[in-house]
Amino acid sequence: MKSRVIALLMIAVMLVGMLTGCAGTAGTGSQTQPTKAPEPTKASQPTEAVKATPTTIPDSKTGSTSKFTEAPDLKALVDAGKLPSVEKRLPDPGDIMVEYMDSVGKYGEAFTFTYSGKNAQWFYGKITEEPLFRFKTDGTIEPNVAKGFDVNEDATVYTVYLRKGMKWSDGMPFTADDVLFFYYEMCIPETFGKSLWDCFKVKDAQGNESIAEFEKVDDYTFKVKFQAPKPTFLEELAINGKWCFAPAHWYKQILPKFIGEEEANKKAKEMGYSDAVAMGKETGYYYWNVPGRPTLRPWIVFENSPNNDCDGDYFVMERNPYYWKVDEKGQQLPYIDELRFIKVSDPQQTLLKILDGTVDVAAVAYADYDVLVENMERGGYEFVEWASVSWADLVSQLHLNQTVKDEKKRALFQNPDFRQALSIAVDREEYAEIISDGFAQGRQAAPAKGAMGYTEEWANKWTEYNPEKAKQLLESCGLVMGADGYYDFADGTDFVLNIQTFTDANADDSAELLMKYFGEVGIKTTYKPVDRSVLDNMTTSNDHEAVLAPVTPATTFSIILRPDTVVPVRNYAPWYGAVGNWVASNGKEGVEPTGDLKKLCELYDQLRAAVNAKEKEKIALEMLKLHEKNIWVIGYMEALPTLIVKDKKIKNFPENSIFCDEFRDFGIAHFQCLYYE
Amino acid sequence: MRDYILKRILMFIPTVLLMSVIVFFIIQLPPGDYITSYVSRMSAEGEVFTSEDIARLREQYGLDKPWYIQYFKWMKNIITEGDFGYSFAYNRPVWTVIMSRLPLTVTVTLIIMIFTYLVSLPIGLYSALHQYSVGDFIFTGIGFLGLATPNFLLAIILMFASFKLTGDPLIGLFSEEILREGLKLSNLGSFLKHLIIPIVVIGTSNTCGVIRTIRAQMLDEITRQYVLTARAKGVSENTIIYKYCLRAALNPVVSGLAGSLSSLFSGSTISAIVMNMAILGPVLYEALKTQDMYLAGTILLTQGILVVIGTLLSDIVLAWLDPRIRYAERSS
Repeated sequence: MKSRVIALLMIAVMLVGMLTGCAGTAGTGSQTQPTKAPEPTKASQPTEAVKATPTTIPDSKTGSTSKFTEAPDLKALVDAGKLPSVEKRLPDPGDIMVEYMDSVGKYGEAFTFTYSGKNAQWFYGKITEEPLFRFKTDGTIEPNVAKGFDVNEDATVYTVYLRKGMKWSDGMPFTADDVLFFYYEMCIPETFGKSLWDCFKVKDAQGNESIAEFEKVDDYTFKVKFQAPKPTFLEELAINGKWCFAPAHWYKQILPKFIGEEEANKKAKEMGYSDAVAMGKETGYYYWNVPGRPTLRPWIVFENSPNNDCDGDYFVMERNPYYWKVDEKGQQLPYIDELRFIKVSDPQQTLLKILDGTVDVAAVAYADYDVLVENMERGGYEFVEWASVSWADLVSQLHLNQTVKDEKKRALFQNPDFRQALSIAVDREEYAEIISDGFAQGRQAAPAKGAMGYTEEWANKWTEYNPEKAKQLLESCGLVMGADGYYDFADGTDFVLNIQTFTDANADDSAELLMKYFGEVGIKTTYKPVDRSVLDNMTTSNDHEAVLAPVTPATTFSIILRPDTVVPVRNYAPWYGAVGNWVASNGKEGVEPTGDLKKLCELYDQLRAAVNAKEKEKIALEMLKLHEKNIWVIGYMEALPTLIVKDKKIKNFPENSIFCDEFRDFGIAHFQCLYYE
Repeated sequence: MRDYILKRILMFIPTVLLMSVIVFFIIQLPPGDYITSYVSRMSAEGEVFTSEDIARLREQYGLDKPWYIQYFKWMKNIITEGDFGYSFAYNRPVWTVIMSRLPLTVTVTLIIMIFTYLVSLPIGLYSALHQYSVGDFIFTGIGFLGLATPNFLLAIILMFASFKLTGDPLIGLFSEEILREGLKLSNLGSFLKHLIIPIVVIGTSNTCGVIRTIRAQMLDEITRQYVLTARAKGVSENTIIYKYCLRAALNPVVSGLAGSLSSLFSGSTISAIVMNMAILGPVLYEALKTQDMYLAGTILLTQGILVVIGTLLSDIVLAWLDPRIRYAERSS
């Protein structure tokens, strides 16, 4: 009797154990499984409301007649005699920059974010960045650090005006000397490990390249001279060069040229770097991480805490007392006292911190939408959607390597009929419904509505679902149906389409669907996710074949300024493979393009040599037309807007904008203008 | 005994050297190197790298040379200057990175280890003495449950449960308050609160093994001849259990301590990542993923050395604990 009871108890324990185990394995699926709630409580159908052309906002101004005021803690320092008065810290009232904002704010509070350590340096770099000229939401540039500019008729000489009385974050004056120092002592000798940026170079009609010449006119004016016309210099500077200045007085104390190799190495070791070269790179390029390095940014690294490390568990940036912008009432910006960054090791932890209300601004995934909506009251946040400039949703972009090593496959991939077959083999309506829970619609890979080059025909090109026609096209490419129901090459060898992607892309669902559709029209496919660095290596060595959800998807805000993902300029995007090498090495390495791809490269050369902006635009449109004709990048679903959660109490955050690199991602929100109500 | 220890220490050096070669070789085995992952990560953020930039980076880090030359340079610096190299990711000397996390790692792992043994010893003892009772089954059941459930899953569930019930997900070891002001007596409560989930998650899976081991060993001991004799002679039950049986039963537990010295150094990795604990485990994981050679190499080398030392130490403790080993040595 006793043994029976014991046996029953043991069985019960085992059952409980087994159930836990089974439930365990079901739960550990991919982290961003879209939660399929029975009645998804979608706040709104987002895609209708978001356009690629955000609402225009008035420009910032120069010159203010208001009395200047400052934040209370700065006022306390002034009263204690530790800081000069606000009038002495700000630039001349006639030259000061007045930011535009929806509503005038008040001082106080701090922003809290999560970050992954120094890897996220561009995250907090972009939101605090102050370039010479910055982009407005309509894609043109406006003065920022610079007050304004003049350009001569053929765009060979730019005269840039700076603001009188502007100071670095340590109180030293900011002058044209700092601009010239940056160019001649840092860019040209390449002290921070980057070869001279393209924005400083120009090609003349014969193809000879020359670099810019900077000349100081007076303390607050300088000229930039080119040997050939460079009509988009300032736009290129805004995205390629970004800032064009450095604190000469600080660098003269650490650069080897000024203090000697040995001293520089010693200084480097003091700061914790391995040698002067590493120091040059970290302080020269990623300079916003370095405590004590003067900047013009609204927030600087907090130095009064010994553990404040850009890679630490908790990173704080505090207000720059010499920040050179005010609002229309004369209050010195920024309103927010501090930026705080809490380190997390997993994106799910960011989600948890958003739910409990700690994080103030963050971009989130639509997959987490349901959980976020549930906790909106508790967390005190709301949603904002910004348009994306991706040509298609990331996991729905298929890049066929136009220079794939297998000769037969290369001929096949380069054949537009094959790409058309792959495109029309997929039922986009069903696909979009499954992959995005109805949030997005099926579409071809094309620029967003409102962006340059968009046409409705392109967005709908090859989007009908027609497996029969797909099969006919495949046969017209020379493929022959084999006995196993899959197409083979004409000479009898098997044709297998190998799809690759990287493991964190969450492309498993879309890959599975695509494989099903491809299989139905007779294409045998395999799917292999690999680690991101492995995929990078494969792309670099041209070993990739068909990449789904590539690390570098097709996305541009302006093909003129940032062509890298849609024009083969260097080894970058998977679809053009080794053609990028060919262009970057001037024909020495890589694979020479043929046909329309070659035409695309030639057009790009013409673009770079174009004399004025109109001509550039004309050539850019031609390049985009080539993309429309060839559909080199196949897309199955539109890119969803970027979903952002922000604390309800934050004001002045733009409701409509575009999330892209040119606008410095969140930078376009102008964090120095945000405040808590 | 002394000869034994001396011999072991001499065997040390070739073992460690061989280990360092293998470790270094394997770290750089995956295709690409640190620069590949670095460039791809920064490019995704919009940074532009030309091929000259990349070549220059490789040269700067010495990654353009074959692995054995990198290894020799590294070993030479360790032996002659005690310089373990620089971490590419942190841009700091490797030892600085390790030391900045070591105190926390050791503290947390020590607390968890103490908790594990404190809890499992009495339970194991109770299970053995009251074999097949209800208590025995309950403890065994819980132990196996803890062992079978994946740690990270338990961690996520507990964090979410804590968020749902209290609104504070208890991520990481430090609340924002502690991060700003440092660990003080007033903050200690918060720190202990944050320790609950790691202790439960990591501790419960470890306790099961120890409980079962002690239980098995004790059951083995209790049925021995000498116990019967001692009882007949009138020795108290407590003396029999604690002075004689338990000492013998602790044998495998002490042997197990050998590995724990090295795990003290890095802490459990997956659970640490999930719970956002800034200990060395996640650092090692990241370093291996991105092929941050010197950081990963140094951590693994140190762990290896600690395993060897740990084994030696546990052998010594065992010899002290168990006189049979000493007599066996002497007689042979």
